[in-house]
Amino acid sequence: MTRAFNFLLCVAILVGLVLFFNAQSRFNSVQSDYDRLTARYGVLDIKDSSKFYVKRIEAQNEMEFQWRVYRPDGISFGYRVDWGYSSSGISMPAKSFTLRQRESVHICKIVATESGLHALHTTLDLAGSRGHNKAVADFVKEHWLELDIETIADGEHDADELLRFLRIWIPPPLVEQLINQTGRSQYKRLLNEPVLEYSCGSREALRKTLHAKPKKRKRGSIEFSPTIK
Amino acid sequence: MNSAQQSSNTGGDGSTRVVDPTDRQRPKLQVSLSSFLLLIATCCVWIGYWKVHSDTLKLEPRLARLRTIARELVVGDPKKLAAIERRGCVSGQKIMELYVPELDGKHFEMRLAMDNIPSLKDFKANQIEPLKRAVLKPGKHFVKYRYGIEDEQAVVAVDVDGETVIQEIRQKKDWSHTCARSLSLSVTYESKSFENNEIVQLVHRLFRTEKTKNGSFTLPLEPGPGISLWVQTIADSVEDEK
Repeated sequence: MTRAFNFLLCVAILVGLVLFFNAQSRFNSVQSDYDRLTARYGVLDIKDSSKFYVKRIEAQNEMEFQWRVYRPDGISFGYRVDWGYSSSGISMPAKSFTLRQRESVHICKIVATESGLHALHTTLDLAGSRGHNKAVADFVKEHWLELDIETIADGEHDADELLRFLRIWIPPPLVEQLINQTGRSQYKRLLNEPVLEYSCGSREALRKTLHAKPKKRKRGSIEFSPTIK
Repeated sequence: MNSAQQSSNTGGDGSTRVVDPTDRQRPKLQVSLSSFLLLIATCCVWIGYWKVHSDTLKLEPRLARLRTIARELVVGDPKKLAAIERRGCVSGQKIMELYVPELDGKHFEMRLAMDNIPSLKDFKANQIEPLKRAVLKPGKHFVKYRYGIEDEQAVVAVDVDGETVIQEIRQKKDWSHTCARSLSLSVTYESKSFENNEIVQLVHRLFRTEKTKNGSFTLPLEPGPGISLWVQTIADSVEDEK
């Protein structure tokens, strides 16, 4: 009786060990993939599904920006690129896109070409917007490391908030240099306007802020050049 | 307590003890030390298995969500073609990752057509004469589709794992090359598996060749010039005959 019982227990241990090692190897493979992807894309702690969650992630080059974004349910989601004094207008991706994926990676890549400054951005689908001219594009590229770059804060954002993912400002002394270089005084408005702004949000948030001007510089550390009139 | 099932016994001190008559027939449960240790070991192994298994089940949906964000190709069934569109940041380019299975008596071919392209809903691969074709070997491949205007010429090229396998150069005609991408393509931003008899549409665009009254270009009603790139299975015997 005892022998038979012990034999059954031995069989149960063997079967259990086989299942355990199989499950452990599957878990290790899932865990290593999960660790690899979270190292690249970070972790979003979503406490309230009716809000936006944003986390900046590392991009491949210095003129490229990436964010992991969670979008709340039932929101019409779009984007806009502003070029200081002109705007790309509001673009709303097709609903089939916006409804399917709650989370995605947003990329904004700044490219200077012969035709001007380009903001190639991927919200869900690849889109692009061009602004300024070659002179400004070259200037931005040349002085990239001296520009003031503002990116959206990581964490929770309200559903009706305009998500200003990226704002690039030319510091006042450089604006002066740009004006001297190009001989175009119209660039003095870049003192109060970012040279490029990439923002996303609901249709209402995008519409409400489309003509909300001027966008004053927020940081007190920047002094306005008195020589520019 | 049922008095019929009990008998009373009087002890030496005069106290009365109630005895269950069935106690005498019940064998004593004797567990040896070895059995006890084996039982403990069994419980530990099975609890360990249950814990690892439930942790995996909890982690898998989170991994699937991350894979969708990362746009990673997931091969569910190694006998089926799987594809995903990767994230690109260059205009006019499309990068896809394909898993091509090994099939008996069949192989996969990528085909490009640029004439008489119907709308996507009317598309039937066997009614369109492909302009260019390339055999896809079994395994995982990176497919890069490029379209652009170079020196007044429209260039369509497809690279598989960095090697150009399809290229077509056309004179730029009097039409608008812009066209909104089709949203109902087979290959999307989410990894998908396809049946082996399915036509897997990678690119489908129609050029706006018709001019409206106000001079802007619009899509023609009939099949017209465009770009259609798809993958389909071909029987090996058909290829041998050629």
